[in-house]
Amino acid sequence: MVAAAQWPQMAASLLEDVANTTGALFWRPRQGGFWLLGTTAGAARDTLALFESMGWPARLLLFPADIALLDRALEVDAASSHIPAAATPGLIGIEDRAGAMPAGSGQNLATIWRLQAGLPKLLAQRWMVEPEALPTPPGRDWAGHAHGLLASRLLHQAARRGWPAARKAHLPLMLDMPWMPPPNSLPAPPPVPTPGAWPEGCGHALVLPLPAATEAGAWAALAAAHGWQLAWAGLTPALAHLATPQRLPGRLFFVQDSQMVARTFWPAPECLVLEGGEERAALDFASKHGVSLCSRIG
Amino acid sequence: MDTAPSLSRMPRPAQREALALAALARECAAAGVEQRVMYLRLSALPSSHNRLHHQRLLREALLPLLRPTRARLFDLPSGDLVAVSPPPGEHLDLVRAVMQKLLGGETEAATIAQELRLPQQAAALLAVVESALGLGAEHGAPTPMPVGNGAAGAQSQAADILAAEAALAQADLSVHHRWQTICLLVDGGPGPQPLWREQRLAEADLEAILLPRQSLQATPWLRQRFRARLDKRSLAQWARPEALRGFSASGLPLLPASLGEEEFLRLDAVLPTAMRPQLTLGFSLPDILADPDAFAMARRFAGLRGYGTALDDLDVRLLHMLPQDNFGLDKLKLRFNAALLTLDGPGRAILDSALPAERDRVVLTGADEPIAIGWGWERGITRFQGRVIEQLLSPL
Repeated sequence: MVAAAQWPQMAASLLEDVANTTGALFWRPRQGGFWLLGTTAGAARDTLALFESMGWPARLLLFPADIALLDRALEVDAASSHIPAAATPGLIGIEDRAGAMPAGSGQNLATIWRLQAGLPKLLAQRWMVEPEALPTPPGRDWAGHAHGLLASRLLHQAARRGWPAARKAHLPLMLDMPWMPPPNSLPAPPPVPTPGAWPEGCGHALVLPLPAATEAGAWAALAAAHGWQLAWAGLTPALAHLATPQRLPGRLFFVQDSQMVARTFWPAPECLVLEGGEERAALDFASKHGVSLCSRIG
Repeated sequence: MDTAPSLSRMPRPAQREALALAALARECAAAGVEQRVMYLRLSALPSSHNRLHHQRLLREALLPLLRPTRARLFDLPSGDLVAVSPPPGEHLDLVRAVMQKLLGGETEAATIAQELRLPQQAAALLAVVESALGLGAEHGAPTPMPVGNGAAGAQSQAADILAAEAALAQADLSVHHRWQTICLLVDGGPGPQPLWREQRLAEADLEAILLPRQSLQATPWLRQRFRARLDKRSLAQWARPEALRGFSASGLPLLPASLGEEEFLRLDAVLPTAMRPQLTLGFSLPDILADPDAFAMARRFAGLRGYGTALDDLDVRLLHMLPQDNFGLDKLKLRFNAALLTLDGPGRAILDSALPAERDRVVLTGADEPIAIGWGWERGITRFQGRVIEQLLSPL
């Protein structure tokens, strides 16, 4: 029984529970993953179902037929002696570090496009944050804070009219925003792109992180007053029902590509932009449902 | 800030001391170790006192005070001195008194001898080191910017949160727990029937105590981090044997990601299976939006383990974001708001379609005035939480 999981503590806790009640052995090799060894076929199947319901990939192995896999794992475990703890990037002074980054770093100009009659058609550009530029220790909050610091730089640059050099004047610009309370004022967008650019009537837009949706009304009014539209980033299949202008005032909804995306019902797929979807399955899903793609290559 | 020396330019002794001080500041911040720091800006002595022999006199006066103690003295390349001592460190007060005597005035002494505290002001101390090494923006004129001690509503930084976390680890949270009872209260029926009790930490109070003169409003991710730490502390208390002995039906609002933390899993391991449905885990819509992946995981895990679940404290203005299935959670806790009293026809229709048809799944929270109970009854709601209920349960 092999299982890898995104939530190691929780997976370990579930497996220890099974091990304790069935007399099986729980093993956590150094290279990662979890093994539940010597359990009954029934208990193993139950555990497999349990992991599948959590959305974690797991495999059922049968001994002695699969013994070679276990031997191999034991070898790798023995060979990978103590794994050194990865150096944790510091948090103290991260705000100053972000402020001291050279102009133009920590950002990227991505392309939003879709396949039309078999050909890629450029729709918009997204001036986005490059999170790897400001590494943080693990944790969504720290990553979010770093994202906010980098996005604030974009906002300051926009206020000085310092648009990225590779901006295409005829395309709408999507600007990554930090999660913050709606401010009193916003920088004006770049000059209006050629009317008729897709999506229908879509102009320059602020890309807000999803948690800002609790103040969606205030953001929509503020954006409209300064000549921006709204787009939302960070939607997941669990919140698919929100990805429609009826629920959230926005033109576009950015979704990270995952296996779940194609299996989810989306109320307005034409408003969806798939991030990081360059794989065959993502392309198929996108062209079938009229979903756009966001590629970090300019 | 990068204080590491380059290979081509090996550090001079004073630089080495500055680097050691930077390392100490970082260690204290990381481990939450408390230290008193006296920063003596000898380089900023008034010109009338800033001759070499003055400086030598000052040093000679100070060193005997520090030598027999556990204080460490760092000689910075700028000529400044930094003394670090574990609390209480009364001798540092003596140092200040000596400085005052030598310089002839309290104000003069205050500009030369500045006190910092670790781990709270690690960032300020690192700025001093940086400046002494010539890395700071204002070369030669180091002015510590005491983080966590700034003007009212100053924007928080990661270092402030780390310091607050360190302080939180020691704090006794019991006085900051707020309990409220969720009751069944039927029109014309008997008095309130307690269903479960909910424990909530007074987050705003703790924020004010641990991050004084600051506002986390502008840095919501840091606020989430702080709240995640509060969750961990609460959960650790819940898993204690004495807490479990008296366990009865309870509610616990949590961040979704907290279910993946060791503290929750420990509680999960010690809580008897039969008691799990008696514990209602509450997740708020803003927290779900801030971490949808963790929420998806938390909901599945809570379901597997048999916990009760609730959408916590929903603001009426966010009703339109509610999916048909209440995010797959058992209960919907709607916060009462006077605006509900003046809902027009369409607004009432939205509300009625958003509320689960089984009204026993709905709890009206924030029932602080009797009018809230009346409004709830009109909508078929019979479960309430708020001051009205608390008063009914404990009449004077």
